[in-house]
Amino acid sequence: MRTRTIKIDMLARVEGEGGLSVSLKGGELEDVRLHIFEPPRFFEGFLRGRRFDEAPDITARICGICPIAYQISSATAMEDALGIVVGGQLRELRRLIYCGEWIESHALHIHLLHAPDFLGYDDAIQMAAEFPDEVKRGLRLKKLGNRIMALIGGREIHPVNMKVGGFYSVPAREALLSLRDDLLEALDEAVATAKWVAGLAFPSFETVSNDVALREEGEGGRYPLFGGRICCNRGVALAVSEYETVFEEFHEKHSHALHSRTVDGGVYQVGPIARFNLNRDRLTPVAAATANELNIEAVVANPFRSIVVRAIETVFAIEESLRIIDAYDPPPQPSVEYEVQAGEGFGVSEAPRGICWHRYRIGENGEIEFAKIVPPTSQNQARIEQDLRELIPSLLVLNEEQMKWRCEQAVRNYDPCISCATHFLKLEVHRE
Amino acid sequence: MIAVVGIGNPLRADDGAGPRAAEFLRCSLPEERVSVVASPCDPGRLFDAVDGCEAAFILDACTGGEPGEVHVWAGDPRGLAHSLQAHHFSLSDGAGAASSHGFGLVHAIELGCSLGALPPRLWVVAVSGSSFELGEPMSRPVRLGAIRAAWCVIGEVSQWLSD
Repeated sequence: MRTRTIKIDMLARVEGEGGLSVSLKGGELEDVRLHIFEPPRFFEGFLRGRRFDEAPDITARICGICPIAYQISSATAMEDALGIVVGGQLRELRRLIYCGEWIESHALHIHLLHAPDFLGYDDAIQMAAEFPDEVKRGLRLKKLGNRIMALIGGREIHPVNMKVGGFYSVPAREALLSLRDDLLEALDEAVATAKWVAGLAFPSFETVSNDVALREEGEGGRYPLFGGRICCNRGVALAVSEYETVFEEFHEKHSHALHSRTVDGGVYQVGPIARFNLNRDRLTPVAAATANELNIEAVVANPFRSIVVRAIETVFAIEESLRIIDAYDPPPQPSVEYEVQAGEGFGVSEAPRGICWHRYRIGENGEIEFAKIVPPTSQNQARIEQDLRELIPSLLVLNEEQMKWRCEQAVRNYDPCISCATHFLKLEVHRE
Repeated sequence: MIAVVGIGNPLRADDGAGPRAAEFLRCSLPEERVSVVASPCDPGRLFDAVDGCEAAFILDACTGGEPGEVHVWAGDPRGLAHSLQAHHFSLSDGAGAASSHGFGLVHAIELGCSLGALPPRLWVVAVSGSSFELGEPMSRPVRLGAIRAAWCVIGEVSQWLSD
């Protein structure tokens, strides 16, 4: 049997660091493993013994790209434990800052990290020479997302204004209105981005989908950011507290980040495609019209088309920001008052990369006794491996460089945030 | 207008040399002629900071050399990017080892060249560091190096403004 090893020392353009090895024997695929070998970061461990109201600021440090996901998931979990509900304009402000995070994260991934794969460039620097307008557009959109986060959160990276019960302070109406003109311009730019990426050449590849995302039930339900039920395209609709009845974490030797699966062993995906497939009817008008105009399929089954879905979600996030700003009436109090009490709470939100689920138990003195955090990239690890197992047989006719290119591109379909799980990605292909 | 941009993370020991030097310069340069900002190594933030300027000074930390040693490169952006690439010192690598979403300074300058987002004249003033550990304080040689870097920028800016 012929042995052949292909090795990429570093997979670029993903957040964090990990490795990928592909073993081929006799020309056939034997094994695919997404290695995440950096030490665990022990966030759940050192949350224990800290006060419950420190969780939003501590968990935000898990990721510099999606801190809002951790802040909202942890804050809503604590609010669940304390028996309080944050509604009205405070809830809307949380949606707005989350839109900012989606805009900056999606704009970065689309324009600077993923588009070069489709256009044959090693990176955005090469691509910028021939597509300067598109790269500039991406930077403008990212900047606007960051501005929203800074305006509401106090700063764009690891914002400091979110707390259990709401915010430390809320912006004046005039402050939010200062974003309006730029958001209107950005809406046109986001639609142009969607049209641009929809015209890219996509590899012919489809998988059987097992999508998991939040969904707000009933009339008036909105495209999900947080709240609602955890739904699956196979008919499951769970309360946030029921997550562990269907999904479980487990350890794989080759990864320091826990994997996730359904309790019956199934692989699933979270993230833009899952959200879109389950919530297309919840899109805002321009986003929905753009998706229709671009003839996006009813169920997106080609993971390479995630770039198009991210672009549609960017349109949504801008439109939703405009809606919230136009209706904004500053709440009289920046946060809801509460009494500290012992309890258990659950929180979940839609990070740009998919659902981010939290569970905490707090004691009578307000100390955190138990914490569990399930980030989206951990949940997508098995799905990435499954995609590669299904994709690689069709790549065996390619030379090594072409094969590496396509494998990296397939990993980037999920915009993996390995820093959330751990770090660093290498690709090794072993052929026997 | 001239831009002075201090790049680096003050929470990562010697990596904070750029922002520290920028802090010194904030009070020492005429604000009507020179804008001084501290920034992470993010291309968008860098391009915003230098937008519309005739020249820019980028202050950064680097590896290689003796701790506290100050290095100066100057030129048009594309030539400067080539010079920096050829050099054996390593400049800011974006968000550092904890993230590959960040751009390194050289890559940010290259991207800026492609986008026409940089002024025609650029200086990179770097201070050699030895420790880039999170949460550690800046070493004494690098603290002194940041002051020397600031003096170097004051001299260059004064020369530029008088020409």
